[in-house]
Amino acid sequence: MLFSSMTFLMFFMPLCTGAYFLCKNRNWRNAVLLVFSLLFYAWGEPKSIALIVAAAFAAWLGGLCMVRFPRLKKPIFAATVGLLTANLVIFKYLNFMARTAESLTGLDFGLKEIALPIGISFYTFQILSYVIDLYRGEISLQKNPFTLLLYVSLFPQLIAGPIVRYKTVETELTVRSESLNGAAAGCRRFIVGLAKKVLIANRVALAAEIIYGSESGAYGTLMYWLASLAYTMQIYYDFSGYSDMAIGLGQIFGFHFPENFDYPYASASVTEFWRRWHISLSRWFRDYIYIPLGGSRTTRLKWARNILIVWGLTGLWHGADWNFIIWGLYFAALLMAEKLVYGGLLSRLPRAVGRVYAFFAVNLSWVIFNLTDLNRLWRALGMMFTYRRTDLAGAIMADTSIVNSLLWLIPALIFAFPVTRELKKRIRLPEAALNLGCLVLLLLSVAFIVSSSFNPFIYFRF
Amino acid sequence: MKNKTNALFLGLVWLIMAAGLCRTALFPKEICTEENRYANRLTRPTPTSYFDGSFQSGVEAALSDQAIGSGPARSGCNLVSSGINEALLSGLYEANPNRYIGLGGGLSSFGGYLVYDTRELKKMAPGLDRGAAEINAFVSANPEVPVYVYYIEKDTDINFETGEKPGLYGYLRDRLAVPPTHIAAFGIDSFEDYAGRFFRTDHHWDYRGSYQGYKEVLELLDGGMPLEPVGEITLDEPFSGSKAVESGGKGVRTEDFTAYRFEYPPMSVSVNGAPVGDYGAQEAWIRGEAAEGLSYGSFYGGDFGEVTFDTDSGGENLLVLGESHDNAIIKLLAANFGRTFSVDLRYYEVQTGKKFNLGEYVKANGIDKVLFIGSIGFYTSEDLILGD
Repeated sequence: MLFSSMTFLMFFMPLCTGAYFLCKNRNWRNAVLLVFSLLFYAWGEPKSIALIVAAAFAAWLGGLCMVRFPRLKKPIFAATVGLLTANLVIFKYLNFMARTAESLTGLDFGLKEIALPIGISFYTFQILSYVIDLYRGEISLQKNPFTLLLYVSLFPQLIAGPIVRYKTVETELTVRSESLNGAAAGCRRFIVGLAKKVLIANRVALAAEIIYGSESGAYGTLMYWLASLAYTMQIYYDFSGYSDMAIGLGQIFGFHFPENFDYPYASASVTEFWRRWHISLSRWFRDYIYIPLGGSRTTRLKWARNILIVWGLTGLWHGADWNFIIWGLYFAALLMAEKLVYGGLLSRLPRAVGRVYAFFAVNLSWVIFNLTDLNRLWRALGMMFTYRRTDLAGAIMADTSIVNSLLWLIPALIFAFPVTRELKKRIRLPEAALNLGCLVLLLLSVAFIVSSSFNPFIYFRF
Repeated sequence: MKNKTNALFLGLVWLIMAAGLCRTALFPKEICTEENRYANRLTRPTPTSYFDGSFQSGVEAALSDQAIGSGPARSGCNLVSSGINEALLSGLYEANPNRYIGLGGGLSSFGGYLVYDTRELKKMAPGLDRGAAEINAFVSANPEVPVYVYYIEKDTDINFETGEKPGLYGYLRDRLAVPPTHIAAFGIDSFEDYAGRFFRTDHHWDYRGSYQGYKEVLELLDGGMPLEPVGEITLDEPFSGSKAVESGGKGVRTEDFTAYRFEYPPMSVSVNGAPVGDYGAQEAWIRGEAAEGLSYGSFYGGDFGEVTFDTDSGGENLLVLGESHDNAIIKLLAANFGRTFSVDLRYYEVQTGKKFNLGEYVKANGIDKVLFIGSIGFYTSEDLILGD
């Protein structure tokens, strides 16, 4: 179920919030949240619901055994992590591995295509955070399997993050306080996220779709750069919009999820970009992979190895295709270059120069990220870097709906930078004005949802 | 104060959401007037529909149609979007009258007409094979029943820029086991052919095209002399056809709606077995007394599973199997026959509650002639199933 669907807004939400706030008891409220979370997942993934329940149960059982049998803690931990990782590998990477092996050996393994359960990367990483932190002694055992299942399946962040670690919500799972003002703030945050997705991401997406999807050759270099810009904006508004909605929904129910975005396109280096983009994922990799590998406090060679491993895995986490691996390694190369070659110079230059460099580098990365078909990827990159004139009239005539889409790039570009944050500092609007503005945004978003059929979330496929 | 404001805000948001659910579940509307179609409604889930996702899609479609204000919201959004598009690109349209200008979703503008992209034969061939096989199966099982096929070429059957035709009609004709004298087509060989006989903003033929089609069909059926028009009228209301709606340009992309006037012989009409006063509302529109918004269907008559006309003349009985193109001519055809039955296979089972079997239908109603009439969509439709 998509947050930006009528089913979520007009079916799921009124029933879920109605039932939740009618209950006074914490256990009943948690029960309502659990039931609705499972319904939320089962709505879109009826066949995969058992998988998420089994993964949560495996983590609960593994945790229980680690605590009950301290001597066997290490093997139980290894087995639990192995099992959860194997689950992810089978459902997400087996097809890719088989395809790769088939193309290398020329053999046909006859493997049937395995459907990717939505959100498997997100919930697997969340479950792993519970198992690892429990092993490290950073959290207490969760004795109640239903509470752990609630953490894993909690619908606001279930399928596209932020990756909420168990220790972040450990207390709030059982002790939290919902408030009228907190719910209103959460509701406003949700509506802003919805508007980012529906009013901007879906609009600019069309330009990228049209240009990358065209086989007519009507589009030249200029249009390919515009397509890359459109996708850069789409993915930001799509994913940060989803995170806003998730954080807002959490707040309505009394949870406090971590921030996931901090105006990443205003970064002055790629290193800074990754501190401001999908923050919960970067921190997960830092704490559970990079630092255990030795981090940066090691020899330069081992550090480079650690960077390559982490970014290769980051690429793979985003998708089982070669373009994602290339995308991850592209960032590894840039991060190493910034650290070893020109990072110092970059920091001495005016911040605007760094911003232009970082935006260009990131914009290019999204081209690699977007085009899973390597032939189309090379073609797009070729079009961007070898000049081919665009017959503007011909390009527009090929599909005039591109004009509307490109117009939306203007507000998209403006609001991708901290304009609203600066405005908020200078103008303090009364609560009533904020609420009114959000109501208007909600109505506009609903109007756009019912009038549009183009509404996918990019990060669902991870 | 802050608490009150926030309580009011949360209450309003919840009400907006809950109102959509209540309307959909308890008071669903029948018709989506803005798009001139049946509104989606909630259906009962089954294990199959749940696991294949069609139930979930149905709920989404129902909520989108039924939510309070969804129709005007949809129209408003599309109107703004296509208004901006028209305003920005009007020069482009005028400067390129002989070029396809893509509007997205397989729809283009060409010479001031909204047109669909030309269909490719290789993509249409499997559907045409299936359609031809269905018709042939009936012909072979019922050799005593004369079967006629009339194919309507339209924008999908020709590339107006190049004049090339993919040969869809020829492909179908070659596969039909129907006497060649029982097959004919409404031919489109150039943009001029098309422009003179189809609406600018709708996917149907206009009054000239449909009247030509009526005469050709009558000749094919050897049905006697055609009714002659007694006048011509252009309605006051601007007309935005199906393609205008599809492109989001309802109210922006408009044209005149002109029609011939006829003096029909007296006939009784039934829709899905229930007697009705008339099929369509031609006279009501001409008198300025029409109750519905202007559309091809509201003028000539809508798509129904089964419509029957009885002139009580004792003439032959005709069965017309087709789609909405025939809406404009079935009443005219009915004037030349005793009883005329029009069946739309897309709606027959849903609206009448009966499975359709052509052989049984022909026997039960004493049908003398069977006419298949439609464009490429009809002959490739998966609803074109004539027996068990």
